[in-house]
Amino acid sequence: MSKRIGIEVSVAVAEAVKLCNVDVIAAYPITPQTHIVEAIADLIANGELDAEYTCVESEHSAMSACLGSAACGARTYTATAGQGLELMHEVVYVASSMRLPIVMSVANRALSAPLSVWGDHSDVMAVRDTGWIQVFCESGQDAVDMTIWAFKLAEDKRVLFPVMINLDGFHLTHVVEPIVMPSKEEVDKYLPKNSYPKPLDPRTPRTFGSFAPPAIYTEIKKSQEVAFEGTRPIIEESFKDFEKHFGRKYQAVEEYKTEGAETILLMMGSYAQTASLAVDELRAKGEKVGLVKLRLWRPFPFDELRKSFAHAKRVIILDRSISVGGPGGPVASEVRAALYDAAKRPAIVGFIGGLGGRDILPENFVELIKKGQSIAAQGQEKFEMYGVRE
Amino acid sequence: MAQKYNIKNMPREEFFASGHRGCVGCCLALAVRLAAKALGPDIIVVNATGCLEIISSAYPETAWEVPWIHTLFENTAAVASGVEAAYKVMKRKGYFPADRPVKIVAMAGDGGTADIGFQALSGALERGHEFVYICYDNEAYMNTGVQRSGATPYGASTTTSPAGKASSGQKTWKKNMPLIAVAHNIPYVATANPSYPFDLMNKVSKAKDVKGPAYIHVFAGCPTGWRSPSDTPVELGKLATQTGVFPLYEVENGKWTMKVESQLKPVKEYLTASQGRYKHLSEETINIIQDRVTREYAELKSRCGIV
Amino acid sequence: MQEIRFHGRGGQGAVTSAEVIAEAAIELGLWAQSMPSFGPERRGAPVLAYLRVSKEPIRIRAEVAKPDIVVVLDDSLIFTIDVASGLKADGLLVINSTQSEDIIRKETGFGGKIARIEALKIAMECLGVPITNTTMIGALIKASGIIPLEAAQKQLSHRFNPKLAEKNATALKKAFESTTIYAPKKISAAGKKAAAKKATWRDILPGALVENPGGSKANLTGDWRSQMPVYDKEKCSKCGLCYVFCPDAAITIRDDKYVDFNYDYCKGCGICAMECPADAIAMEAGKKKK
Repeated sequence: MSKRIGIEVSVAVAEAVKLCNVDVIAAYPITPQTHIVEAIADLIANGELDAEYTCVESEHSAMSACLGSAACGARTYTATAGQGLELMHEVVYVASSMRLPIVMSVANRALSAPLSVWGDHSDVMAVRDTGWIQVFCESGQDAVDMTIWAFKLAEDKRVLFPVMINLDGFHLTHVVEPIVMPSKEEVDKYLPKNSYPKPLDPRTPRTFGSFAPPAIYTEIKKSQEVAFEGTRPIIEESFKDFEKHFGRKYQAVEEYKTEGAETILLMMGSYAQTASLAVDELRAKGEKVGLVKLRLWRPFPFDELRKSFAHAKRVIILDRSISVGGPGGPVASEVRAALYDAAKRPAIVGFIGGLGGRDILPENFVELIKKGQSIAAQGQEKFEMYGVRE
Repeated sequence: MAQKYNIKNMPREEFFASGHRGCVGCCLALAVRLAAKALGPDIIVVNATGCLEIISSAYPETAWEVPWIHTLFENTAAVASGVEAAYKVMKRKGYFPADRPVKIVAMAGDGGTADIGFQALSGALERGHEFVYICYDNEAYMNTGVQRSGATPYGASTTTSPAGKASSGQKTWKKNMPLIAVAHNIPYVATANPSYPFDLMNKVSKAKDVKGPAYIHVFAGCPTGWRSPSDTPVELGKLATQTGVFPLYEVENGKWTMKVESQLKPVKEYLTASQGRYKHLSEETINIIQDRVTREYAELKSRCGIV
Repeated sequence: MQEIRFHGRGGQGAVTSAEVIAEAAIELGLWAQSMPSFGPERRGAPVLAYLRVSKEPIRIRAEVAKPDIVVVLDDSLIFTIDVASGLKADGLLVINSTQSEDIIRKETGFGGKIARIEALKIAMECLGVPITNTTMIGALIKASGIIPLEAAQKQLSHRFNPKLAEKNATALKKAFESTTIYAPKKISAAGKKAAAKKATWRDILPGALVENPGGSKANLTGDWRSQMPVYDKEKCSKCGLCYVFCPDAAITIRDDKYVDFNYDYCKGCGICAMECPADAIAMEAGKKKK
């Protein structure tokens, strides 16, 4: 039976890894991911999880060891954050291109310089085009559920892509909160044994990772892209499947009080919970304001977003990273692309905030929405950094 | 049990197939062919980016008769760590027959080992994964066109350490990778040379049985990069050992043993034996190299307890 | 604009040929472009180089797909590769070959103008090495007049030291003088090599996995050879060392302990001959088993 307990989110993620009976973990400690890997080490040390924990000497090696392990058909997990994700950057690409169902938690963290161990989404934005299925978490419950869900999705023979679970550094990773932990029986019933179809195995020699001359590279990339696009309906199906087993509903795009909303605030990650308080406040005042939470970042849910914004007059987007010299935040940029073809397009205003662990309070969100509305009213579609001292 | 190979009992089966795209006279291909025979079919090869990967894996033609994986350049030992960990746990959990041997073998060039792959290798050796790491050392980045690596010998002219009016080639001494491997206190370290094929196969066979990491540093003659005729690399390999430039030794659980040359040939014989990369060397430079080789050979003998 | 494609083998100097002519043309005030094929090809493996020469600035930056001229530095290539692919019907094929016109036409399926030169012989005579690049330039200039002979000779003196430049210039001139030209001839299309079916993206396994262990055996590296081992069984001491030392696994030991050479894969490195303690293997120039 599931059990509701008060637990630190990182520890709960480690428990979820245990429930999934992971075979190999290869990880390198980095704040704010450390509590996850420490808790996993504890579980192994106490005999609660039978897994090989390879304490590698860098994140580059962490993801590399994951490649090796996943290619053998072992259920494989790692976790990282910020600089660690950047150090493993080139390996992250390989995991997808070689179709290895690795699951990775990213305790989202800002990027140097200056050094900041605190949260934002800069780290994951640098790997957005690597061909991983990428989801964001709003709560500790999300983080646990997405971990369990990720293994099933990644290892689905129709998928065979790695899955990245983003959870905000500190704001999620280090928080103790109530989480319903599924039981071992429930997870066992939900998650079949990993049976990677064509593993590295001396009984059937295969060659993994050939080099491709110009005559074939494009075909190989196309096959990857087609397969990745093909995961969209399976992801939808997998959310329903999860709901059937555990009773908690997840969607690529999740909405909060969007009915009749003329102004919609959009973001990813845990700050959406705080933002919902601002929406409540404005709704109480009779303002037609709603919130859209983007759970699925890759593959990007273009159709779902168009539906969510079909009746909105303006969309205000909070990005927790900046594309320096670019169009503002990456999320806003993607939403603009999604809505470009829409017959009726809302005004889109982007804000960049919550960088390097900077909090955004409910009243700040109220202010941010107001500011967004006023920018939109002036017919401008620009971006601003929010909460910066002038 | 470790095998003692000879012409009669060496396996006739090839695990590194013909049709690979190695240069004419490629001794890396020879070393891998011999090592693969000693390793047999129950292995998984993890290969770094480099000559070996390129000559053996042009999609869709693979030269490998055994499972093989290549991902990137600097992470070979790390990928091997993951493969080893996976098999360990899969056997323990009954996902793979526990009694079926699966040896993990990493292969990388000197650049992939002594330079860019150094950290991953050190990590994997320190963690004690049960795998054989074979460094095929052709003494420069041959795959990209003969640029110097940390394993390029002093005086060798490469495309990034060219000899010229103001330079006599590589200005630094070859990084001593086997000694660095020994410093990790792993159970088995050896140097080998395909010019001594059975010795190479015996060492690989021994390494295969080691519980823990084994490191073999293999001399791999490269006619293209060394600017030598294609029929000479085996002879050059012999000269490298006979002159003490590339001595053959083993370190088993800290115990050093070596094949001692009763009378070392002068290094000049090796340096001036149809190798374009050394053509520019002056007598003075040759003497500097001779002094170094003499000293290092004496040090090696002393480690082996030979007075 | 004249577009030229060079077919050679790694180490033969196809790229140098293209560069020398490009540099000469540029020095003459023309526009030119030389470009290697950016491949992983090794010494002995088939390689390509491209050359464009024009009176106007050249803006195309791609391989030459529809050449006016094809230069083949090694005629063994015509048996394995469609060297005339895309070659214009009224184009020119310049080939280093000892083969007859008929065989060249049959193997290439090309009915246009052919210039044949025995470049290897000239290279060995003039240079003492089997590098045919400058020789081929002589034949190309003779057949096409793409640049004056003197312009090419001048480039050689830029590129090589005086002694080597002179040798190369001699080879160039000799080649210019001894090139045989064959006028276009109607031929049947029977010799045309069928283009191999190319894999589509649908043929790719997840992760671009390859499930054909030892599939490299489809790659017959025997045609990389410029010299071949000739085995004298009478002298063979049956030690098997040639088998042991072959980097290409192209030698097998028979039940009676004598050896067989697999010329499909033997690249002709000569290690077997060098290591044979009984002098039972000799290396002979050429590719074919007698």
